[in-house]
Amino acid sequence: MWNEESDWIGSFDSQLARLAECRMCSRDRGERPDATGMDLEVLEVAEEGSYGRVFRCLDIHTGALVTMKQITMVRLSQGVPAPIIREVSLLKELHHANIVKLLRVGLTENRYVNLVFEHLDYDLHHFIVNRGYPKDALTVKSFMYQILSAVAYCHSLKVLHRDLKPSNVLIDHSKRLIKLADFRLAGEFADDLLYTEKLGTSWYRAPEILCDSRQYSTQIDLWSVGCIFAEMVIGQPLVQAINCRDELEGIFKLLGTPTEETWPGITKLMPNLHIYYPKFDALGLETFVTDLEPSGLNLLSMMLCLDPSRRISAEAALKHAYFIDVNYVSLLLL
Amino acid sequence: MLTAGEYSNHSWPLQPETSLTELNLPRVLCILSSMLEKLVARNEKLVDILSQQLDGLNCGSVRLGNSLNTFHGVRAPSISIPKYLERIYKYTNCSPSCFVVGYVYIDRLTHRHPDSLVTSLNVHRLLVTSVMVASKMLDDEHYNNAVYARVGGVSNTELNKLELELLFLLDFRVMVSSRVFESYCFHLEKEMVINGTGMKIERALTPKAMDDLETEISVEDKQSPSPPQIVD
Repeated sequence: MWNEESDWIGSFDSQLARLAECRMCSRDRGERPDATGMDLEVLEVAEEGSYGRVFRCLDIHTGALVTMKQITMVRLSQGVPAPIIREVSLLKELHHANIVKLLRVGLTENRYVNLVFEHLDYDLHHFIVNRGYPKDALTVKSFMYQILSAVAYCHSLKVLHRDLKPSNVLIDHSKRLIKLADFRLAGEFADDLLYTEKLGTSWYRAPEILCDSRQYSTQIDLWSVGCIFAEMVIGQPLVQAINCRDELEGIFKLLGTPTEETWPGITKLMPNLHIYYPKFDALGLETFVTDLEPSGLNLLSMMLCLDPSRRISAEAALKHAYFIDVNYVSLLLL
Repeated sequence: MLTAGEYSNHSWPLQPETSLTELNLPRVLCILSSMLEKLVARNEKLVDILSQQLDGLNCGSVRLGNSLNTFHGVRAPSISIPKYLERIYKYTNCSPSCFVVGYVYIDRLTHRHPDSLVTSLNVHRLLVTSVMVASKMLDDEHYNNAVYARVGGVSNTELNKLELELLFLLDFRVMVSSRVFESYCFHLEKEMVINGTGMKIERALTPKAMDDLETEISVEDKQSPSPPQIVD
């Protein structure tokens, strides 16, 4: 990786040679690109986000619709919020048809960091709530395949999304194209990495996180994808609770209270499990998710498996029999 | 502010002769400070040679690239690089990996802007900014800019400006994969072997436990450490 020419602590001679090549007596380089004006015409304020406002804009040069997230650095003590740095740096590295494109980053008045994204029509939450959810089984299948493709790609690069939910899944309506967005909580994972935040929205949060485990991996994203899958089919979140404890109770009612047999290590993770939670017998996914073909139900049960070590991976999920009739050619052409 | 001057005797808890290795500090600090000191010394010698050559040719003074101008101080701070790294580690509680990743950022900067040199005028500001950004990337719980500013001897406003400058100079490419991290560790260790000290760097890319701290503690918070001021 390091040779004498490129190494910044390389030999004295190579430093001298490299500097000699630079135009030391000429004018220095100009301002960084996009440091001030973004060359965008603001059409409307789309929403007020947690870090600032989101605008729907028109790119003056290309005439294309774009989405601009304007992050306001209101807290002097904080600087650029860590989640924003993470999101931007990750999106600079992630290049996939099913991941939203970050077009450019700009700065205005040393106070706003502007993130310009490709524009998509709406998110999956809006699609489910306002459009009567995708009743067409093939649309569900296509959306699921695309979500899993993006997740598998992220995991192949050792990146966890950590906040998958319908509002973070964007849709290009005309192309029926799905794109993952909002990588603010995302990060690289390692096998021995301990995470110290309760991440993600509780309705889509994996049971191991709800159980206060600080050691988790790719499986947390698959649980969230399973929750999204179920929601697309039934038109509402599978388990809706106001806090983590109630969320876990809802999950245990659905899938049964875990034991050492069904989830090895659970008693160590939650020593007071049977004090806080009754021993529920599984109601079964099929009692709630009724309009799903058997292979789909099988895939869903493999995603919504309490034991993370037995939960299906994104890569394996893509090869599941449920996707046998997905039109791969049309997906590739998207 | 981070300018020339000494720590007053009462404000710095360590005796001057205490070396990094004698303290219970991560080995990466020792390796990194040694390398940065050599780099700065070499770059300053380089600038001197070029200045002399240009003087002889009546070409005026050396004008290097202005990419790192924001990080330049008027004078070099009197605090040494080892002491400065030790100070950052001691008071910010960031994981040792942050120093390796901070080094990666400085390396990327010098490759993206090869006409700019790391010198005694900018090395301290580059270090505190790059370690702070690395901590934001790596550690789920970290101190905010106000604490880093106080530790680094710069104002909060200035550090915010330096952070933005670093991010834009790097085009926000501050993600460091495990593979790249490992190769930099190997490179740093190899450098120490060449210099006769076979040291291994702490490898874990794990955040340090900060059970007694809240995320994003401000300097006013009673739980936050109160580092000695860097005085003129």
